[in-house]
Order: sequence, then structure tokens, then C-alpha cells
Amino acid sequence: MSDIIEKANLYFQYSFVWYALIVGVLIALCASLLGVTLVLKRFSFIGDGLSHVAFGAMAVASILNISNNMWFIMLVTVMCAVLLLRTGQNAKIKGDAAIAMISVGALAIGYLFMNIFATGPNLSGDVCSTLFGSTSILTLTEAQVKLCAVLSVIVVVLFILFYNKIFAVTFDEVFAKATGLKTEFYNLLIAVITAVIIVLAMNLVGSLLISALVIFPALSAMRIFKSFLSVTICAVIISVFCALIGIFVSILSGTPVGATIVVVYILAFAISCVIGKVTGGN
Amino acid sequence: MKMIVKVIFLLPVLLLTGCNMSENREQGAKNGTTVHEVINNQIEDTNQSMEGSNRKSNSTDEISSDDLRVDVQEVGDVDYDLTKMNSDMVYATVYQMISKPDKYVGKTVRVEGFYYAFYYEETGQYHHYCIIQDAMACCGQGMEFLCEDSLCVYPEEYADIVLEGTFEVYPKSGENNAGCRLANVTLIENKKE
Repeated sequence: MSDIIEKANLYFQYSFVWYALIVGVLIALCASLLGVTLVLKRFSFIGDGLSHVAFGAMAVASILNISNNMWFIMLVTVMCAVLLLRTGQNAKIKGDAAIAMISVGALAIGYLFMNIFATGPNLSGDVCSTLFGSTSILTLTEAQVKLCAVLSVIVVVLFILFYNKIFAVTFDEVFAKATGLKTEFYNLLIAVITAVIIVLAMNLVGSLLISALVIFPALSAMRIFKSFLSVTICAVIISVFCALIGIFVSILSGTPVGATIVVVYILAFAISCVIGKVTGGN
Repeated sequence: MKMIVKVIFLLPVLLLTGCNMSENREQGAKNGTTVHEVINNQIEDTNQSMEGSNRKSNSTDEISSDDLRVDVQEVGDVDYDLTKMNSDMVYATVYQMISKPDKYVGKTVRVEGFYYAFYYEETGQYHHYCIIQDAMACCGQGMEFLCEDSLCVYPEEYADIVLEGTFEVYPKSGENNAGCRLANVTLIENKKE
């Protein structure tokens, strides 16, 4: 135990460890807020799909030598998110099929371009690190942390401001439209916020594991609570708590950060199921 | 009948998974415990004397490497001891050193990895690296190092080594950007000896 404390004291002297914790908490918070909406709208895999689009955009940005490529990746991802989510229930190609199409297409194009126009010798390393996010969260700069903080605050503020509208669009879009609500605008808003969070979350867990940030907190909360507000709050608490534990464990034991966080989420889901059964929840 | 069909489909899946497990376990153990194993080995090896090593040097003189080897206990305080960190932290610290070198210039660094030499045609010299891989062994970073001229005996390629040196930034000839490396390096351990 004293070894662990000594190691923790050593590691937390480094600023990049604190950056990882701050960004991890912010991303987990934002992802969980959106996760409830996306799970209820049956868009659970949107995180996976958009992260693959972000991967493809990152590949193109690397080839074009765009130095600060986060904005380019975010722009492309937002465009695809709008394409997938804005059309809502009236889309010709619905939910999972649309996500699958865009997702695998972007992933294949990105990997193909990275192979043909390789900019560095360590292609598999670059791809692996982006897909699994093993140490990406520990290599953030101060500027990236500030950007993440600003975007996270914007996401949280938007969610709080438009909470009732998002609630209405989530549960019954047709009724919401009939009452005069601009459902297209709120679908667009959800799409843009989702894309922003996905791009930020790639640093934390990598492209392949992003869905866990979106799905697990919401589903865990739904095992215990029933109302939208309580599920949302519970999802936020579970997500932040699990992300913190996951990052701590990963840093102290040397395991990949993204995978460790997801395993903690799985454990939290299992515990929530048990609590739900015991308390007579969902 | 349906149950029998399900069992027939499940059995090959379970068998195939079982065949891969030992390989995956070995890989998982290798990736997960390498740093801890090395640290324990270092503690055990501190009192053992070092033997001569293979030579890889620009010097034409045959020089014993005994004078260069220093017991770990004799080494002074190290500002950044990467051998005491796990693989995630090592990778991240080296990344920080290379991306923000100003903060680390002049600091003593102890690092562990495997040795690799690369012949750079433009300078006509070998550049020597300690390659450090991340936890998943899919990404690697090289920390260049420099021993003092003719007194240096470089290890065998791909040997696991532990180095200690002073971090510095140096101008690369023919390039606009600078390079980072460990200077005044002491080879503390060479596992292939």
C-alpha cells in the first residue's frame, strides 16, 4: 500500500497527469449528459460511427499536413453528425444502417489514405494509439486542456438551458413538433454537441471505445432510476466517478487508459444491475 | 433438437477461443508486467559486478568498458528516473520531454529500453537510441543518447539497457529543427551481457 501511495505521490507531481484527470472528468461528464438522450433515441452507436469519421478526418488532416488538426476533424465530424441526426425520424436510411454506412466507410477511407500517403514510419503505432487511446490522454498540452474545458462548459450550459426541449425531442419528436417546437433545430443542436464530444473523447478512450462513454453511464443509471432528470444526474455521477477511478488505476498500474476506464464502466453497470434488482428499479 | 444445434455451433467457438488464450495471456503478461519485472531485476542486480560487453563504437581503440559502468548506488540523485515508472508514465514523460524540451534541459534522466543504432547518411554518423515502447507495445519513442567520444562502448543492438544522462537540445546539421538527446551518458545496465 505504501508503494502505491509513494508511486501516486511521484506521478502527481507531473502536470500532464493532472491534465489527464481534468480532461477525463470533463469528457466523461459531457458524454454522460448526451448519452441519456442518444440511448433513448436509439442512437447508442452514434459514438462509434462518428469516432470512425473522426479517424478518417484525422487521416486526411495528417496527409494534408494540417498542423492543428482538431478543428478540421471537428468540422468533418459535425457535418456527418448533422447528416445522421438532424433528419430525425424522417430519414430515408434510418439509425443503425446510416451509422454503419458512414462509420465503416470513413474508417476504411482513413486507413487506406494513411497507408498510401504515410507521413511517418510508425503507421501501425499511430493507428493503434488513435483507435485505443492507450496514452493519448497523457500527452495533452495546456492549450488542449483549455480548449476542452471551454467546449465542455459550453456543452453543459447548452444542455441546462435547453433541457426541456431536449427532453421533448428525445421522448416524442412528433408530439414536440406538433406543439410548435423546432425539432430540426434541436436535432441539429444534439448532433453538433455529440460531434464535439466525440472528437474530445478520442483523446481519452480512443475511437473504438468511445461508445462506452456514451452508453454505459446512461444504461447503469436506468437500472436504478426512472425519471429523465434522475437518470441524467445519476449517469453524470457514475461517469465521472468511473472515469476518475479508471484513470487512477491505469496510471498506477501501467494499463491502457481507455480500456481500463471501460472495464470500470462495465463493473459499475454490473453493480447498478444488482442495485436495481434489490431496490426494485428498472 | 434446437439445443443440440446450438451446442454444435458453440463448441468450435469455445475451442478456437481456448487455443488463443495462452498466447494472449503471454502477451498480456508481457505487456502488463515488463516494467515491474525489470525494476525487480534491477534491485537484484545492483550488487553484481558487470562484465565486458560487445563493442559498437567509432573509435578504433579496444577499450574496456569496466571503467564506464557505475553501480546504481554510486549514482547521484536523478531528476527524472523513468525506470521507477510504469509503461504509461514512461511513454508520456518521454513525449513531454520531446515536445516541451525547455523544461527538461540540464536535468538528469535515467531511462530504460532497448538499444538501436541508426546510420544517418547526411551526417555520416551513427545515432544511438534507447527505444521505449508503450504499454501496448504498438507505439515506441526513441530517446537519442551520446556517450563521450572514444570512451564509449555501445551495447549490442536490441539489448535491453538502462542509461543515465543529462538531457540537452542540440542543433541538427542541415535541418531547421533541433534534436533532443541524453548527453554524458552512463550505461548502467546491459541485459544481453
